Amino acid sequence: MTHAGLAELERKLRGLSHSDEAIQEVQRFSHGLGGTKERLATWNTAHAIVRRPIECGQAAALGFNTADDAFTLLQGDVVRTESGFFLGERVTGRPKYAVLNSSCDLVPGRSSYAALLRILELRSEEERAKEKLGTLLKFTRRDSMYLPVLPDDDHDVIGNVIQFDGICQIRSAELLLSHRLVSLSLVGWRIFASFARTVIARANPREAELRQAVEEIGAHGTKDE
Amino acid sequence: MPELSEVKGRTEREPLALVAGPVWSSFEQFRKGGSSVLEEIPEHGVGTLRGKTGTFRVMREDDFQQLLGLATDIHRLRKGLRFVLQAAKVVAKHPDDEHVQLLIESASMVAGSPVLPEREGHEAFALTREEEAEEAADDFDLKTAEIPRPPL
Repeated sequence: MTHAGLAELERKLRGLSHSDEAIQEVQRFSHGLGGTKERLATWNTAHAIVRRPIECGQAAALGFNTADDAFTLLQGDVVRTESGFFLGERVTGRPKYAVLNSSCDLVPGRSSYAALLRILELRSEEERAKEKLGTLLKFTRRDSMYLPVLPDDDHDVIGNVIQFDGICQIRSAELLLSHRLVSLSLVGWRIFASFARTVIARANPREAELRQAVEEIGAHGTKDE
Repeated sequence: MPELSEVKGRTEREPLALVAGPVWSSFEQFRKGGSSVLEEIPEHGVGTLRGKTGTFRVMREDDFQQLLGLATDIHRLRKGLRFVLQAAKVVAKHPDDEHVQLLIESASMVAGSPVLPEREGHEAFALTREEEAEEAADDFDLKTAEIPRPPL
């Protein structure tokens, strides 16, 4: 591969690898809904973001019945478990998580460990609850995705947040025994992936310029330190 | 050595205390009782269902998750104990002061942590000052608003 070929590849990837277009699309949509009340009405309807857990048998009945189609959990599923660890501490107290791994990694025997994202609860009596709800419904935070209140949440819970800042770990065997609360809807799953992608591959435009400048110096004979 | 209450720190929760619940001697007995048989299971209770294919336990989801969570701690304890056992083997081969001290220190590490590190739930979601200011003008009234729970 020539240097020109690699440069061409970099140029093609420029608009793809670190694009935050997907998350901007979510923000534009939510902004266009109106105020907090209208956003709540949209995002909290049936199947807007969450839905009843998608079962393997249900999928099989629809024709997704090959050996590769079998699953117990899907990416983005919301679960309760006391077997997850955050910074070496086991989290107790009926915590909720969203499954970060791709669905294909969640098949029994495929991987030993899985990654979970914490789900924080927003309660009606906590400080700045209204402001927090308003901010989340706009999807302007790059590390926090709004989830509506879930069926078995306490009566004072008014919303949930998938926290992309900080990843928890769990043994896959225990994850498969966790309490599955909801799956993401199709659009909810795409929003979830938009956040995940943005968190992993977000770049300040200055970083691309910085890297470009460093490489140009290298190309003109100045030795990289 | 610190007192147990000091070591426990944030984790003051009661240990898992499962209690015996009802016993169903056949699946038919369980089935005929309908959903009310499950209401017979007391808080933290474990029902027993004896069938032709084996004996099964019935418990609430939250109790099961707590039990499974405690079981995961066994892996952490086993690591600590393996360390003490290795130190004991070294002392058996080389019973000098230095190795005896190593055994004492490794045993103290395990004994000094009778409660494995835990945290109770996740922390609360927080806003930046800018976000607070931006939302302050929103006339949405949380006290009178109805927050719809999505039907599944």
